[in-house]
Amino acid sequence: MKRSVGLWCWRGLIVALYAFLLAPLVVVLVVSFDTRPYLRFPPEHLSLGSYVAVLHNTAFLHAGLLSILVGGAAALVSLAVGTAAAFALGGKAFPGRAIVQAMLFSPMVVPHIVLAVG
Amino acid sequence: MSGSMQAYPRWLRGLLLAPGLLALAVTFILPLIWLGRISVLPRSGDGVTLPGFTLQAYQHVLGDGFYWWVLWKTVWLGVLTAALAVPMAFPIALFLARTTTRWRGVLAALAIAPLLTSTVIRTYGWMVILGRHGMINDMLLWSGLLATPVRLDNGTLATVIALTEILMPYAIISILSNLGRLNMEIEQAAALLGATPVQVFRRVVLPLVLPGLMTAALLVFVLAISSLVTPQLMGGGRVFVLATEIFNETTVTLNWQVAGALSILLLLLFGGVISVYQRILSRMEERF
Repeated sequence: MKRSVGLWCWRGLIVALYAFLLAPLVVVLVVSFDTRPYLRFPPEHLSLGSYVAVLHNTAFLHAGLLSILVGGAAALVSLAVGTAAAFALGGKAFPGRAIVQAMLFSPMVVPHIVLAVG
Repeated sequence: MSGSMQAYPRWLRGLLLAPGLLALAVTFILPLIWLGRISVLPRSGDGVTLPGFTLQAYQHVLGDGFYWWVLWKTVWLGVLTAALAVPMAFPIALFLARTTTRWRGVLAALAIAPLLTSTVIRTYGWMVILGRHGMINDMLLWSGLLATPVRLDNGTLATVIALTEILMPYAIISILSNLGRLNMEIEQAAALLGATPVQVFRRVVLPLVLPGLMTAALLVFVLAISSLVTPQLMGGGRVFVLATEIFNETTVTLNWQVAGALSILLLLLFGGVISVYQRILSRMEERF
């Protein structure tokens, strides 16, 4: 009996944590069907109006296309460069491997804003 | 094990590493050197950068109490976010590592899914939830607990809530990979020897995953103190952290020298935090 109470508490905790984690995504999804011009939750009427407006907005479509191009190019280049480096690092140990590896990983921890300023 | 490892000839290894190191130099090391250079260039009264060398920007930043306060706020925001995100990510990671349900794949994908959407989108979602006419306020008003809406969307609290949610998936992945290396037989052995589930967790699981939790905390802290979009949008211009301050110096006041000096200080902060972390981790590994 005591065990099942603990189990239900554990499940409740997991559900609550998932709800917290996914809340903003769900909210954005629901609000996207709203018809009013200001932020309010939940919507009164649901419509696809915002989607139609987006698809008619050429500036947005251009921005979307640019995003895909930039993302695709970045993915291609880093995949090619990264695969080559991974092969070399994954092979037999060589002098200086740890330093090279640390250097190649370092952009991950440096704030992007710092790089953007530079 | 070592038999499967490829021993590349020197020239081939160099050839494989060259593009990566070249890309690193162009996109990472050169900008950092450039940044250091900008921060020591003199600046005329009307904001024109002059050739020469001066530590004026550093004197300006270090001598101004405001920047010390911003630095303190930045560290505080990072600590708070890490202290919330890691304990909240741990149960999900533990659940995903131990569950036998056939929905495991879906649930794991759901835990990581937020990472696939941009920070801007999720910050926007939090603005809807925490806003003046947002869900939380509506619920509190409707239930009669409040008579007038409170401002939740403007300040450190909102920034910490949003950052916690945004950075949780990183912590989940980090802890999950650590739990995957944990041998379940150790837990079963402890249970077999008469330990209750709580005892198994406290005396066996927790000490073994502590280094993993520390790594997750460091990751969240580092990402939190370098975040820009969330403090800028959620803070409503009232949350000042180093990243927003650097952004302001480069886009609003156009003081590149101060922006450069602040960036270098942020890098030093990073170096300090990471070396302290490594010292703690190696001491912990000695103890176990």
